[in-house]
Amino acid sequence: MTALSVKQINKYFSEPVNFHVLKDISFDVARGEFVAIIGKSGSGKSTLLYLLSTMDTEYQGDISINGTRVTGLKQNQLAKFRNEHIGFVFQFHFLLPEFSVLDNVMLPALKLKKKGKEEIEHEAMELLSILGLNGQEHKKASRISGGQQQRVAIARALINGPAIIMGDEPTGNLDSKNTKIVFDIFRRLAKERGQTIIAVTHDDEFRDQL
Amino acid sequence: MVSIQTARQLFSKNKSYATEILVNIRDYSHAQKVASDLSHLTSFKVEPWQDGNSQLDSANVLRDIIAVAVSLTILIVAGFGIYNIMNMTVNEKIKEIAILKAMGFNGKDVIEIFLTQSVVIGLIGGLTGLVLGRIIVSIVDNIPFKIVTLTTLPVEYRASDYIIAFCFGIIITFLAGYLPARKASKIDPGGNFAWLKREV
Repeated sequence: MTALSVKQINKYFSEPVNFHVLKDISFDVARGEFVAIIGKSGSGKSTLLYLLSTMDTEYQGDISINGTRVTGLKQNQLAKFRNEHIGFVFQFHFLLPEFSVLDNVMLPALKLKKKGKEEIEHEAMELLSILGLNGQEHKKASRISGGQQQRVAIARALINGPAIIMGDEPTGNLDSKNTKIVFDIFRRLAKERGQTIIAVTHDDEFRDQL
Repeated sequence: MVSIQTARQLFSKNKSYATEILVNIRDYSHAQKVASDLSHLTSFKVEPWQDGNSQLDSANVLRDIIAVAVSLTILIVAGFGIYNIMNMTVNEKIKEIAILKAMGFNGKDVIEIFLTQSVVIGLIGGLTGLVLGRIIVSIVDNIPFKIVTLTTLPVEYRASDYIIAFCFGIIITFLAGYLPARKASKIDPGGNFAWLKREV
């Protein structure tokens, strides 16, 4: 079954000069696949990822995620779709520094409102312990190490059980030990939970592990 | 000054003679209505106090206008203060807003967050203002001011004034918070994703 289907994507930048970044891109990604988008800097990897993530809507072509055509949906519909179906891990963790680790992880699920608060809290604790963050739950997000923050960001991406997890250089800011941890987590998610993972990277170590 | 009986004797009039009857009513601002009511009951000339004292009346109206204009100006300036604070908060939090949106929060959620903040500022400010205002007024009430029958500055305590001031404050903070909140809600998480490449 395809988790993601891309047909004839074209993307232009008009600022500062007209530039055709993505030319007729088409591909399918099956469920449970672990895909890395690799390319040299400036080749449009991130641009492609932000189109796939539904955050950038200015393109020509067609994108379907999990059988839903996301091209042409309105901003608020896309926000709802992202909340439920897409998890995000960025190069920087982008946790909300004023909130505790647990609150950061719970936030997307509280927005989705499919489960009660206690159930969400329970799931968040479980995810954090899977990611080796026992005992950090009630610390502020700004008070833990960079590798831990990135794992919290992964937990946050996973809380709603998204079909696709997207990473923009998810290990770009980590040392090789933490890179390996993050990579192992991703591989386990793809294998055990059947979650699709799409990551942009120029990190050789990450690439070599694939 | 002489008594009315002596006056009648001096004018050699009988016991029912009077040139003028002054009526004291409970609320001076109702004089015109009472006068027109009375004029239907009698053939004599009935005149509200405003007709004979139009200067005093217009001074009163003018004073009220100035009082309202001054308090409105202060409220609007305070409103701009809140608008500025909220605008700065929105600019500071652009990245957080974009993260929330990337996670699936929509424009309405963002508006809610920022409106909550500004209304909380409004509530706290409003209540503090009422308490402080009441304290200052009671001090003003004791400032000596000797004119005619007054010994201190005249102060009127009316609950309705406090309620109106509070409601107005809330409305102003609501408006001053709504505009930046709407701006925040329009931040596009993907259209300009250069921020995603920067460190927190």
